[in-house]
Amino acid sequence: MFPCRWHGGTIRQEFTIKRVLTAIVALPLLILLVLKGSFFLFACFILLLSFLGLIEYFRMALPERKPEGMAASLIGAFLPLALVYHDPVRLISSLSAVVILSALLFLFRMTDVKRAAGETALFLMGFFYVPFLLGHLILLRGLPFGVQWIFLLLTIVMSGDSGAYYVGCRFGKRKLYPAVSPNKSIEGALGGLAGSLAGALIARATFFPELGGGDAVITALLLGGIGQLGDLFESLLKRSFGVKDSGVIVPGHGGILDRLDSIVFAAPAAYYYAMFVFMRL
Amino acid sequence: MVNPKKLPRHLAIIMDGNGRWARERMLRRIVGHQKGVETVRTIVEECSRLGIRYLTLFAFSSENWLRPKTEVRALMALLKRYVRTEAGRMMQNNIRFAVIGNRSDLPTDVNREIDDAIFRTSGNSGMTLTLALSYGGRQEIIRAATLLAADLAAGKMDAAAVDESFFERYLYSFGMPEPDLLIRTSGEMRISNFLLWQLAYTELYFTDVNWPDFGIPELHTALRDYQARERRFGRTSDQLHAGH
Repeated sequence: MFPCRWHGGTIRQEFTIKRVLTAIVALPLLILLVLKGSFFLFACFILLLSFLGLIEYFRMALPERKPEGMAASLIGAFLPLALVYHDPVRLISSLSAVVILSALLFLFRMTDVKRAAGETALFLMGFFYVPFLLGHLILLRGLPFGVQWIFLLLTIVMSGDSGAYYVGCRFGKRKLYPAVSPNKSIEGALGGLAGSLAGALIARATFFPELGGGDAVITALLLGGIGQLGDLFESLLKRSFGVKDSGVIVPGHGGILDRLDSIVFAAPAAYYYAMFVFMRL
Repeated sequence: MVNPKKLPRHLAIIMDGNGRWARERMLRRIVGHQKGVETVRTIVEECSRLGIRYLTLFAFSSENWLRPKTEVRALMALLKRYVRTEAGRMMQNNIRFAVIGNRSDLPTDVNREIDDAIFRTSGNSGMTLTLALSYGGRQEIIRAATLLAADLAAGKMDAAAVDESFFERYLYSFGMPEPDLLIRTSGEMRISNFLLWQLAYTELYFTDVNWPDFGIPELHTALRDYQARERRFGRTSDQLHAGH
């Protein structure tokens, strides 16, 4: 969620314009990629996102460990591939390799004994937080009606973001969780759920008629809710690391993790809910 | 590219490999069937776009009733939903819908959707999409023979007048041309009791690709392969070139 400054001072106009312009350029490209791109191209795109997300994460989490962070981003970006091959052994072996490599890295490049355990843990968390969760988008894309599911997820998250932003700006009074994200309000969170619901129903009425009405409502609330939690968690991480934006890669939108925070949490939920929908038949 | 002048008039497909596709991904079989439904949509619309006149899909055989009960139930639910949601798309694409097979085996609610779709699309003049449901080739021939025998016994015609084209009137496929090309996916190389009578001179094409992965490029490959063949219907190549 983009923080809105509803009291004291104007919303930074230039920032908003940049934001909209970026969306106008990026959104059609994204739609084209999901709609027309092959499964393989989509997987490559997720690898790229994992890579960029990991770079940002390591920069925030371990700012003094730049070269290690870069190497780990490169390696970690390929973790979602383990999911593409539908082979649990491959997944477990790549995760094991990542754990041992990280351990060895800190064993041999230790700077401060007291910090080594924390550093190793932060390092490992990056792999789980970014590529592992994000990889579920690849799994989701491979399911029946995968393209529609991906668009449904994006619609729910994006319309939820917008709903939260506008309702929060207008009616936001009661703080949601000030210790983590002072700009978010309970009203905004509810507006977000309403936005997600509207998004899901529009999706069902347009590109995803195969989705049942009940499923549309449940996915909206489930993915919208989990997405908001993902947003809060990323705020928590940033606060904890003492940074404001996760990065500057998306003009007007902050970092890539700021954009993906809801999606990384909503993607696994979407995948397992989609599976549930198929099983139920 | 696919030559639009040498398209098969009638394309028949044995859609095999949904279960295999699912197993390779550690998914349940039913997920594979749903992925297969998505492929049906893609292939139906591409065939219609190309200008193929008849497309017949082996969706459910007489023997498929022997599968586990849960799978059969799921397949029937899937079929019902497919017929309902696709009828609208068939209207958009000017596709006429038909079914061959022993429809009395099918659940009533499925039959109702089928009747509705057949009725709604009956005025369409584009491709005819035929689903073979609870279909078996031997069963079809026996049914035809029984009907014919009844007509003979009733004295409606003379047994001496029965020839191939007369017998065909008793088949489910009456009025349709014979398939020019049969595609079977997922590596199996057999006919599996599909259109036994009608496939007499049909070109056969087998591919290892599982049905859920059979996309437009794979369809084009099959059509190009077909177009490169010489169909002789029992004659010699020279006879064909001489224009007999």
